[in-house]
Parts: sequence; C-alpha cells; structure tokens
Amino acid sequence: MNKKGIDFTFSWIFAIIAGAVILASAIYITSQLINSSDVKRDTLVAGELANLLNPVETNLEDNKYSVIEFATDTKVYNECSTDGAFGIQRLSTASKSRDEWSEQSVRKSVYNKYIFSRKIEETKNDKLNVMVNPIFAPFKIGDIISIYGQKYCFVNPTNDIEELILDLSADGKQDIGINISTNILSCPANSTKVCFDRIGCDINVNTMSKVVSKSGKDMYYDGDNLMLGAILSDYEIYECQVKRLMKRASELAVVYSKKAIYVEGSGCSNNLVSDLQNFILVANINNSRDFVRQVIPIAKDLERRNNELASCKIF
Amino acid sequence: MNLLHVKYSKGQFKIQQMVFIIVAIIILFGIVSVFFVSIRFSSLRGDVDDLRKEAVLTQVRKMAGTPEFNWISSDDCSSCVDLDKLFLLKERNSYKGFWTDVSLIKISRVYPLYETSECTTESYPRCNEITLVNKGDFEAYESFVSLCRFDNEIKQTKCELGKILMGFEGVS
Repeated sequence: MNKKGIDFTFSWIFAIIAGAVILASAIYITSQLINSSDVKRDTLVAGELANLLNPVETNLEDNKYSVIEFATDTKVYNECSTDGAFGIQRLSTASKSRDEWSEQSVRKSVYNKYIFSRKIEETKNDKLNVMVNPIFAPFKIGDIISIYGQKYCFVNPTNDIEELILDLSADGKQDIGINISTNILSCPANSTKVCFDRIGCDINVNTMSKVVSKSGKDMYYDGDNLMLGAILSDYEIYECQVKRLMKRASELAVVYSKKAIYVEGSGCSNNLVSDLQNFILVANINNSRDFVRQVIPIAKDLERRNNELASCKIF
Repeated sequence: MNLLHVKYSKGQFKIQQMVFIIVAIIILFGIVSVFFVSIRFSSLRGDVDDLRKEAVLTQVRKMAGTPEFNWISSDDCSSCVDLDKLFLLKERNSYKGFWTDVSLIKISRVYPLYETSECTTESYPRCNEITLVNKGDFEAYESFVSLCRFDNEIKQTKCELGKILMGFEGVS
C-alpha cells in the first residue's frame, strides 16, 4: 500500500471540501448582507419619500407640480387602508441594482397624506412626477398627491383641465408627463390615452355624470382635482383614499361643529351645528359614488350657508 | 547540526527592496485615502444635516396651512392659524398619533402674554400655550404665525402674534 499516496489524496479532498464550504458560506453571507443592505436602503428611501412630500403640500396655492429624482430605477408601492380614525397610507420601495429588483422594503406608515397612484408606480428615467391639488368639501380636507411615472395623453380635455395642465407645465415648456391632444392618433405611442366625453381610450372620463372609467371600473369624482386623482390612480387606491379623505372630513367637521357651538356662545350666531352633524353622519361612505351622491350636496349647502355668515364664518 | 548556507543574488535583493517600497507606497496611499474619505464624509454629513434642517423648517412653516390649523379666511393669510379650532382639537383623542414623526406640536402666544400658561376650558382664551403633541426628546423648531379667533368683546376677528413650535427626533 502506498501510504504517501493515501495521505496526499486525503489532504487534497479535505482542502477541496473545506475550500468549497468556506467559499460557499462567504458567497452566501455576502449576498445576504447585500440583500439586507438593499432592503435597508429602500426602507430609508420610502421614509425619505414620505418626508419629501411635506414641502410639496399646498398652503394658499391652488395646485403644484414637482419631480422626485431617485438614484436608481425605483418601484414605489402604494398601499392604502381605511383602518383607524384616519386610515393609513403605507409607502415602500424596491430598487433595481445589477439588473434585478430588490425585495420590497419595510413599509412606512403615515396618516395625514393621500397618495393617488397605481399600486406599483415605477420611475421613468429615475424620476417620478408629483402633482398636488387641494380638496375642499366644503372646507379644506387635505391634498390629493398624485404620483405617476408613465406618460399620459389627454384627448380633448375640458378647458379647465387644459388650463391647469398648461399652467403646471409653464405653457408646455416643462415636461410634466401629460400631453394634450385633439386627436387620439396624435398621442405618443407609449402613453396612456385619456378621452374626455368620448370612448375608445385606456381611460374614459364622462364629465356630465362625473365618472372616470378605467379597466371596466367606474370612479366617481367631484371637481377637477379629484378627477385627476381618479385618472392617475388604480381603482382600489382611489376608492380607499376617498374614504380616508372623508374620515378626515368627518373629524374636521366634529371640530367645526364644536367651534360653531363655542362661537355661538360668544355672540356669533351661525345655525350650522345641525348641518355639520348631518355632514358627519353622511361622511361615513362606502365608495366614491356615495361621496358624490350623499356628501357633495350637503357640502355645497354648508358652503353656501357658511358664506352667508359675514363676520363669523366657521370654516 | 547542519548549517544552511543560503546565497542571495543581487537581483533577489533588488526585488526585496522593490517589494518593501511598493508596500510602503500602498500603506501611504491607504492612509491618504482614508484621510480624504473621512474629510469628504464629514462635509457630506454637514450637507445632509443642512438639508434635513431646511426640510424640517419648511414643514413647520407649512403647518399653518394644514386643514387642522388654517384660519377660515386664509385666502389672504398663509400664516394665520385658527386658535379656536386648535384649542378644540386638543380635546380630540382621535388626533393622537395623527402626526407621525413629530415629537412636539405646540402653539405659543408671543404677545400679549397672560398669566396662565397651558390653555384649559376655564382659562381659554386668556392663556399662552396649546400643546397638541408632547412625546419628549426632540429638537424644536419654530415659525411665527398670527393666532386668529372671533373676539366676543369687539365682535370681530382678532389676530395676535404667536408661534408654532415643532419638535423632531434626531434631525441632525
């Protein structure tokens, strides 16, 4: 028996096995570390994204447009829940590195923001467009923050919408991701077509019945700002955000009704308390159709009656 | 005992010398690059801190325009807040946790000042502060605003000087 030969073989086998184990574990640990750092980075991005949306909120301004730039291609996951007093807006991200998408990051929850978008919104050239429009019904409830990466083409929009788009794009000098066209054939090929008061587009808007139809589902709106939110959102996100907005409207109405009682005691007669309490009851809606049919008529009546109060308006 | 006689050629000495020099250069470059990176990172950290502070200050200034704070006739006053509304909001439990990432929200009167500090049902409106959130442990930022309300004595709107204080954890 050749002892030297056996010893040599064993040491080689041992070296190969040990080397393979060490290499495999090193590769595994490294890939795990890279993955976890990707998730950590994406979680930070989601948090920063929520913070970045603070300065773009409106104050006295009517509408605003802004661009958020990312370091790399990014997917923004928009999740909406109606749980709790105000519902929850959850944001998370995933980024593309080495031609692969990372895992979805940990979700960042916020209660005072209403993001209207598709469930997964992807950046285009590392950018996302942000359009912010306030919503009043009858008092200011919040801001509709519409986030979109893809291109849209509005075919024959209403004058107000055309004016708004031209205003936000500085008369077409700035690309805000929305083109206006008089003909569906003139729209860019890769854009989502939106028809106003006609059919045949990816999204159809009926301004008479105040309905935005998308993927066979109808979203009801009141006012141009909510219409834009409906166009740029998925059905589930839109319905959830409208319900959340109504939850906040209800909470604000509670405060306003208390204020109405308080200032009435200070000699400021208003008779708005019962109307505000009625508003609180109807603000508990199931869908956007309820919002248009139930809430809007009462909100308009409240607005009219509040405007009649000269020196001591409630809202 | 055998003594080993090792002979070094001139070429071997040269190679050894070169290796030492290369190692020394690498170490020198390493030290310089570490020094450079640390300086670069410290300035980057400063830039990030400045950006965060700017974002926080913007958030404080924006607070007056939110539906819970804004004054009814805010068509012409972006920094006017509704004091009545804020006082009534303080009592609402549903608003606890509404403002995430904020450790302090306080509305403070600057002039005129009254004897009572925190506003209560008994002392309002002759009081100086309305605290909506106070979780402790924060870095506070402030913005001057007008505190407006309907005044019973003069039967019209009265606005006084005040400020919004907001505290955030770990801004810098």
